Amino acid sequence: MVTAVMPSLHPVDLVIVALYLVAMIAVGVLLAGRVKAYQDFFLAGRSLTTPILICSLVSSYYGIDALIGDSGDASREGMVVWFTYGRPYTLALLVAALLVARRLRGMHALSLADLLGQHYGRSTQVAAAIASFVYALPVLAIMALAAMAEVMFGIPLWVGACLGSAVSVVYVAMGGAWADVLTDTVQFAVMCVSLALALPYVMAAVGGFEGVRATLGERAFAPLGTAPPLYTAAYALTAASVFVEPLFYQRMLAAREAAAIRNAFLWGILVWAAYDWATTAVGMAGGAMMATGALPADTPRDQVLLRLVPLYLPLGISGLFLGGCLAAAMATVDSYFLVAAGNLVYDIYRPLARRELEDRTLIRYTRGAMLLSAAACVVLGLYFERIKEAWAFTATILTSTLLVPTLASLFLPGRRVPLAGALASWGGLSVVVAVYAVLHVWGAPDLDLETRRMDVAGVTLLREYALFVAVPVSALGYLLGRLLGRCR
Amino acid sequence: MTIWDAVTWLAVAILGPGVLVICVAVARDLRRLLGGAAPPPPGPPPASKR
Repeated sequence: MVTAVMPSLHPVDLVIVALYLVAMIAVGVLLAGRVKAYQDFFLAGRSLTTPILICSLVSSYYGIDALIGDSGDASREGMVVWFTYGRPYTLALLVAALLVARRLRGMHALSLADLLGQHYGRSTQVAAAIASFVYALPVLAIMALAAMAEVMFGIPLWVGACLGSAVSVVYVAMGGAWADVLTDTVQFAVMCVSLALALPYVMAAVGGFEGVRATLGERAFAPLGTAPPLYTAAYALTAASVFVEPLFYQRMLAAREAAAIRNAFLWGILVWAAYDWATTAVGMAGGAMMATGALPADTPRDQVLLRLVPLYLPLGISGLFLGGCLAAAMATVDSYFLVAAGNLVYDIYRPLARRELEDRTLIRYTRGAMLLSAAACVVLGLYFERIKEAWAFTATILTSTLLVPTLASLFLPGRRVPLAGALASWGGLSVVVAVYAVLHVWGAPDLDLETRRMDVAGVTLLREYALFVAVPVSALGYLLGRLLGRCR
Repeated sequence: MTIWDAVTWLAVAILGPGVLVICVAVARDLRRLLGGAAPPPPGPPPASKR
């Protein structure tokens, strides 16, 4: 267990954090009475405008996992985090904004899994919902919240994970998508403004990028990094998950019009890139501090940001930054709990139960499903040791299961063949599960890359390479299904 | 100041004043939507009974 670093948090900082938490719960309480129909509860009545979508998209998609995970990676690996891990996402978001959004207008679905179910049938919808559910579990955010609680207060990881889940579930279970969106707006402001305020202090402490270069050398400024190319490529390719990101589809379906979501993505890309840069810069500053002894040289990468904040930020700014960390976490946790619960109830239970459910029943079941999602999240969060490996697992599951059938349904009009969707989705999902299971049982730890590996006939297999196998298998399954299956 | 420091200040400008401008626009839209001033767009047909 890590020894708590703080008690250098001033009571003013703690009051700021406490007020923020109370305000979020109050929002859920106030909005609970407005929710009548399931469409209100899950899609905020399909009335979201561009500014609301910007706040909601940015704050939900980028959580504390991005803040803590990216800064931690940058402390070890440098600018590769912004250039190579991050920019493929910018490209994917641009394509999604310009090509995907407008194809969803006129589609009367409540989720991506629902969309695929309407196109391919129930089997594909269930596979899609399972992958979407695993991905939507905000494991990364909960892990980061737990790490924060452990470093700040010495609370055991599992307690921090449970507390973090509980607060977010409370207000979104009560107020649904409206509570989610409203709190996202506040959280968006807090997480961005607090980072903007903190960044100059942190960079000044290490003498700017000149100081970073003097300490860490040119290696930290290499855009492609120094890890094996295939390993780097595997992480860059997780950007394909953007095309099957359940949150994006939920927001796209909740938008008032196609132009609103397109414009929100384009503005969001600017904010995301700025946020990425800020977290990378803070991480590199943390790396420089570790090299000079200002921070312990063996600081775990997921704790770099949390340990340097109280050392260099003045009173009030430190509390606001902690509030920003919480905001970043909760904006993600609440949105993804809503999506995950919707997957369980609307996309798995409802089609398998084969009966129509009243809106108030759907709402009640979805609220209950949030508790199930929270429990599953805590279990998964305690299994993975680092945020980065949890991200690789969930993104790989999602992309391998959904990428091929989703892109085919959006861009290949014509025959709808249920077998194609089923083979593509279940094939991709099965391969990922198999690779991770085999490496878990028969693989060995790779201490340099912090993953698991297996050497077979001179070829090194890492867990992260599952994507390279699963997506082609999914594509083959799709083609086979098109050849052998019958149209709906 | 290096080019990376200049980029850092650009990021600060986007995440600070830029974000606050967006939040003002949001506050305006939320007041209209939650206050019921603008009617919602026509809803879609009911979801399938699958």
